[in-house]
Amino acid sequence: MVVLETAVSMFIITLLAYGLYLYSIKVTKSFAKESKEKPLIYACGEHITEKEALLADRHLFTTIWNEVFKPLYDSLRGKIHTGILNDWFFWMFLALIIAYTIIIILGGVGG
Amino acid sequence: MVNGISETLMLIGETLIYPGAVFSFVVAIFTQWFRRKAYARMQNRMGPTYTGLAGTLQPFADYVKLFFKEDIVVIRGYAKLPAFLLALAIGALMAILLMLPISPYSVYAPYDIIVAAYLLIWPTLTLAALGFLTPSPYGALGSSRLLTLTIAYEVAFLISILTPVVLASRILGAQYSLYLSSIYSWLLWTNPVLVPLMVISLLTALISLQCKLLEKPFDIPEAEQEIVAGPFTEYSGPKLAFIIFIHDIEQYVNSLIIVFLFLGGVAPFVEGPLWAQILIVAIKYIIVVLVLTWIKAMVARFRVDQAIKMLWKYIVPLSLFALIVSTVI
Repeated sequence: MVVLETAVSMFIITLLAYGLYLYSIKVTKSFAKESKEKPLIYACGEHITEKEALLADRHLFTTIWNEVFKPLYDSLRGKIHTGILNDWFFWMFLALIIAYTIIIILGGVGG
Repeated sequence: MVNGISETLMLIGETLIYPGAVFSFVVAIFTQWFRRKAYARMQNRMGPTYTGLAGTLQPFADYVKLFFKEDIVVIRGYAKLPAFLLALAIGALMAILLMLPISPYSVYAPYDIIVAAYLLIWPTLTLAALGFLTPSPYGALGSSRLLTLTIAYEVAFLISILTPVVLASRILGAQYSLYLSSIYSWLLWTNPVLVPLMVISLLTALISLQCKLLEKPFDIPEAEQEIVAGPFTEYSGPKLAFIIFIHDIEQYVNSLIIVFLFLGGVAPFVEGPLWAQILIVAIKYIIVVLVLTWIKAMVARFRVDQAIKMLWKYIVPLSLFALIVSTVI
């Protein structure tokens, strides 16, 4: 019972405090002036971009794409994507050969 | 069934009025005013003077001001999650008040000290999480410092408050309950064998409480000369009001635990009139707050390694010694 009673008490106070917070942001929004300084980020007195400034948690998931794979893709794209049709056929033919090789190594289709 | 409904209403009333939200708010304002005034007088300053009689309403004015300021959310910071965590921490601290004898309808059960210990850790974890919820390096640094200290001082504080609970339970049959231990703890001072253990655990509890409240010499996580305000750097408006409120409530709740578990609670007026019991608890509470303020005014800030060394080398072993002796005595 002691756990239930303290949990009920904690729940009521949490609701009350969070409700007060929501009321506060609702009230302050009604008379807040829009600030132009707020969205800007400064470091060492200079304005810097958001990407340069932060290492947020979501970077944990996106950094490998943006920082490793995208430059690799860009450099490959510069060399491969020439705009010549023959080159395109060459890469498609190469991809087909690789696919066939893998299928043969794995034992063929349909056993 | 009627009994059940009346008990539920009583619980809600206690949670919202006494000793819950309203009463805690009043005590938090008084505690903050008293601490600021005492700290200022120790430094030969005036402290709060203008708002209310002798500045008593200054903390209230500060709360109102912060509460109606704009809640600025930094880019890539979380807007509502920190407020919810802070609300949970306030709820956890106020729930502990129901387990103390100041509550008219006290909640207790055998081994409920575990529940109290669990609720006591909530605010610390919330404050540590706040730093990681903003992309500020000061916040992350402050929170990592706080977590480094937490491992030491939470252990010391919990072991310290366990000593009178274990003694009261083994000798006086308090069933490892915070409420029953608080009622019987004054009897521990009547046994001369137990007095050294009580003194040791009282000292370690006071020092680890000072660290829990992030006051000098343990205010390393929010050292303003180094890392602005540590985990609280990017918070303003109502969230900052909640952070300050949690600090005050934490001081109130933990000081009350020390008053009841170590300083005997209502003793020497155990059989006396109610006004005498309230007065003696208030006096003991003020003494605890004054001692904590005195430590704050007297010492300078430790470095991280000094604080860790002091906690692990002296405070934790001393409190552990008292606990081990109390289990075999």
